[in-house]
Parts: sequence; C-alpha cells; structure tokens
Amino acid sequence: MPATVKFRGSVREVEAGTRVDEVLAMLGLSRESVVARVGSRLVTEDYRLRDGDVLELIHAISGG
Amino acid sequence: MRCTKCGRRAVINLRAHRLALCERHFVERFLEVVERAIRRYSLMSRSSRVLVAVSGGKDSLALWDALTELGYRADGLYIDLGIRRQNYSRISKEKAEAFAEQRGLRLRVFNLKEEHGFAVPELRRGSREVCSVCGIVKRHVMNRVALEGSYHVLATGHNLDDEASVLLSNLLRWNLELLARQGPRAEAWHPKLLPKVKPLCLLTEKETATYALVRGIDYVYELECPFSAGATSIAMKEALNRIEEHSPGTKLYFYTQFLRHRTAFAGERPSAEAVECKNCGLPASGEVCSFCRLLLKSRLRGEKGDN
Ligand code: SF4
Ligand SMILES: [Zn+2]
Ligand SMILES: [Zn+2]
Repeated sequence: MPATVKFRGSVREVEAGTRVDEVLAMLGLSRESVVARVGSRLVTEDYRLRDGDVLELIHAISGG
Repeated sequence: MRCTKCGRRAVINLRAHRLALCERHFVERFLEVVERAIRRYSLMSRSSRVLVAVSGGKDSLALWDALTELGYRADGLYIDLGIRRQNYSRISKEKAEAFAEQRGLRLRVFNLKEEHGFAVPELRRGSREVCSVCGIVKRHVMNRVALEGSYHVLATGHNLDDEASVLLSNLLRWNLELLARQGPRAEAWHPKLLPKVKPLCLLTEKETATYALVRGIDYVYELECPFSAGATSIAMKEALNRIEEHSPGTKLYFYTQFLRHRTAFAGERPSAEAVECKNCGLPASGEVCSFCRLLLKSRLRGEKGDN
C-alpha cells in the first residue's frame, strides 16, 4: 500500500519509503514554506513515509 | 530527526540555527525569541495594556497566545471587514472568537458594515485596490479602538518573512521613505496615535505555523483572504525562501542587519504635521483623514462595489 500526500486540496500517492524532502522536491516546494504532518504528528523533512501514511503539507506562506 | 536538546522526536528542523527541536523545546524557544524581540526593540513592558490585532490566521493567534503565555496583558481586536467571498470574514471571525473563548481572553469585535454602512469591498473605487483600502480601514479602526480602550500599544502578527519580504521590495525600488520607517516598532507621532509593534519579527512563517499547530490553535489555514491572491509579497517570500534553502539564516541576517544600519535612512523620514481630521478627530495629513475620505466618497456615490 502506498502513502498519500495531501497539498492544497490535491491528493496524490507516493511509494512507501519516500522521504518528506523528496516529496517537497517533486512538488517544487521549499521546506521553508510548508509544515509536514503525518496524522496528528508534525514531522521533519527526513521522515520516511510508511505504508498507509497520510502526509499533509500545510502551506505556511500567506500573502496580503 | 532527534531534538538537539533532549533526544526526543523532533517536530522542526531549524537549519538557520542548527537546531532540531521536540514540541516542548520548540515552544520554549519560540517564547524566548518573542521575549528577546520585545526586549531588544523595547516593544512593551509587563505593565503595558496591549491590543493585539487578530485576523483569525496563524500569526496573530500565535502572537496572542505567546504574549499571554509570557504574562503580558493582551486583549484582542477582530475587525470584521465584511468580506463575503468564500465566507472569509465569517469564518475567520469564528476562529478568533473560539480562540478567545477557550482561553478566557477578551476579544473586541469591530464590525465595519454595522458601524459605517460599508464593507471593505464596497469601499473600493476605481484604481484603488481592495488591499490598499483595507489597509487604511485597518489602521484607522485599530487606532481608534485602542485609543478608546486606553491601551498603550498595538501589536500585530507580522513575522520575519513578512518583514524580510517588505524590506526586499522596498530595497528593490529604493524606497528610502519606507525604509526609514520599517521596523518592529513604529512610534506614535501624535498623542492620538499608538505605537505599533511586531513581536514575531524574529520568527519565520514556518515557525509561527508550527507553533500554532503544536499549541492546538485552530486557525484559518485552508482559507486565505480572497483578495490576497497573486500578491507581490508572496513572490518576494518565495524568492527569499529559495535563497534560504541554499544559505540557511539569510532571512534573519538580512532583516536584523538592516535594523542595525537603519539609521542610515533616518534623514528620509518626512516630518509629520500634526493635524486632526475634521470629521473623526484622529490625526490626518490633510483636513480629512484618508479613512473618512473613503467613507465620504462612498456615501456620495451611493453605489456599492463588488462583494
Ligand atoms: S488580503 Fe487585502 S483585502 Fe484581504 S485582509 Fe489582507 S489587506 Fe485586506
Ligand atoms: Zn527536546
Ligand atoms: Zn477622519
């Protein structure tokens, strides 16, 4: 079973074992601009996704 | 990654400081940095009555939470701008109210439409962007409520990314007047104005978001003001974050070194004439202040803008 990545309303799947910083690179995001959460836990960019994990990337940058 | 201080699981990696921190040590450090900014830039004292401008977003709620944790006497002010698109004003007001209620804090709510008959999008005219109208409204209302409530200082949730991105855009245009004025504390240049302070100015946007999440603050994170899309500030922030990726610590260094050398721009500050608005009595640059001018024009036209 792969892991799920949620970002700004979009949902995609990645292979288990992918690191959070690899996901960020895939999406072209800077680690400065998002907070990564798996379930209710905040994780650092070296976290490796496990089967069934739901990674939520919370956009931290606001305009205005 | 493990916490540099205690070895527990880290929730954030602060590359600029070569620190990975667990929840507990992150919150501890966050509060220390807020206190450091308050002292270093003389923002307020423990006896100050502080009014925090609260939008329902992460920064202002994190600020209110942190000031309260540090033992400052801070009330909140929510300005209902009457933005109906995506229910922005309604939802953000609910977040601010729920936060205040859970923590037993006092939130003042100012409803622009009820007080003056116009919501922010209805005050927009011609080339005047909503955000510039909104800025005039917020400055006026914040000051008026703070004055009437006998507060000593107004605090806003501007963080390091906000400050560094404004600094970058002011520098790119060499706007010396704005450069002379930028900083964590804006002095009151008239007895009817309050000093404005930014206690989160040494903390990044990622840090304030992390703080809000760790502290269980329910803020509007999926929802942005519908008028903020495409703001140049976002482009500036993204550019700075790209540099930060390569050289961690650049944003903080850029901003704090600017503050050290800011006096170089001091001569550019125009001397402010202390005139009072004929209509509302607050300080103005002409006979009528820009807020009252907006209202008067809208009343004359009678028509409503797009909300
Ligand atoms: S984005 Fe513009 S209109 Fe929306 S709250 Fe901010 S200043 Fe006001
Ligand atoms: Zn720790
Ligand atoms: Zn006026």
